[in-house]
Amino acid sequence: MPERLTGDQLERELVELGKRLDVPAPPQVAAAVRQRIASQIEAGGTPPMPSGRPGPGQPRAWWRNPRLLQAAAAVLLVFAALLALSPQVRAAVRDVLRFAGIEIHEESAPVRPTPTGYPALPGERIVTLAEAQAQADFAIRVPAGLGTPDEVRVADGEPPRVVSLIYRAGPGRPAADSSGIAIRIDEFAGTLSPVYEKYGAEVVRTPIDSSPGIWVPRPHVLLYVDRSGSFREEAARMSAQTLIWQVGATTLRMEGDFTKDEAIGIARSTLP
Amino acid sequence: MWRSHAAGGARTDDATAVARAREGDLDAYGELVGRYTAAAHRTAVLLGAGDDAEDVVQEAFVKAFNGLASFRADAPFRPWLLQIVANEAMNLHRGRRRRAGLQLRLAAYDDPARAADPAEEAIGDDRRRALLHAVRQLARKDQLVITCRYFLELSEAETAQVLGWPAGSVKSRLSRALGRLRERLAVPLGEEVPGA
Repeated sequence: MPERLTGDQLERELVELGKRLDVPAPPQVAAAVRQRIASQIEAGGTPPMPSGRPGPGQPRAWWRNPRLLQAAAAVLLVFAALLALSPQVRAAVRDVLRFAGIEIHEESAPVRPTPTGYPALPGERIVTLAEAQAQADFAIRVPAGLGTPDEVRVADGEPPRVVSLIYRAGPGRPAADSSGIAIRIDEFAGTLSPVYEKYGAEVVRTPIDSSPGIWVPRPHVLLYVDRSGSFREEAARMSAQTLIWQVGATTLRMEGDFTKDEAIGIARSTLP
Repeated sequence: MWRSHAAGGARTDDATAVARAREGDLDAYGELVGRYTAAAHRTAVLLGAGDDAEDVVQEAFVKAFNGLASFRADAPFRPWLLQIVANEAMNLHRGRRRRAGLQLRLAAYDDPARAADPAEEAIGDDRRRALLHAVRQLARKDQLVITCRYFLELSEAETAQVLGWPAGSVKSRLSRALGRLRERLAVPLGEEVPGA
């Protein structure tokens, strides 16, 4: 409601003018809104939680804006945004898809090239698979279809927040990238607040059987958000196409030069 | 003029409806949608959404639902919703790379119920047209602030929230815009009024 105006004639005339402006009758949107929200919840999302964060075992809302999925945001490589992760930049991000510890941002900022390769995550170190499982406080999933990983790394503290499985080129695996890695799988507890943030990605909802999953078909910028909630710019890099899915409380993000169907096949071999 | 909001127990207040909607109660959210569709639509139209106003309103309600988790429970729902509507309406312009003006034009007919209000009789059609013309000559930001403050009848604080501007800049821009309107209206009517 308006504050008491100053009694100024002009202000009163403006208010009156406002009442005479041409505004068509309001549309009926209630049914359409309800339907969209219901199908969103049905698709695997949850109603907004009072805490602002989902409780354990409860994935975040699938997408905050269903249109995002079709929005076909031009695939933007937004290094500019990575260099200046100020609140303003974050506010400029138009749509956010939150999924199991990952946020995908549709960003329309200027494009700059971004380094490829694998800068280390904070505190990243090489361990054995058994050591990784002993240290991690979530269940590590190893895709049966890929065999034993060539290298296992843990990162960011004790217990480690992220466990990475590295697969080099070999039979039945996609071609390796310039750093000799064919597939990289990062695993973390999906109930965390976002661990990775991606910018300018176009995403496709891709359930792996009954588990929720999303497919990011093109290269995109990948950021790591550390325990304090800060972006780790030194870990920013270009990610190849990626499949993200959830098994139990573990989120897996797998990148490599595979087709979507191949990725789904690998993901399926991690399901119980 | 007084309006009663205490029309029996059937209506839940906004805070209660918001709290229930957060828990996934779609009926409660539907109540908010029903309550604020007209305000949201008026905001979308006056901020220039044009034919897309309905889409903007629908989109804003879905986004608002998804954003309820981050909504402060004790904050008023209406300006928060209108902020989302305004963002959607303005993003529409950015998306299309056009700089559409605000959609400000007089209704083609006079509502008899409104014309009966004696306060309104004081201002003739000519004066109204001249005023509208003057508003439309203002810079876009001036038009935005005038639209929010007077045409949408938001408070200064709500105007700041809806436009995402600092409160101080609403105040100063508003006073400059009013000054410009006064200057323009001081010009003899015949020279400035469009053919209309």
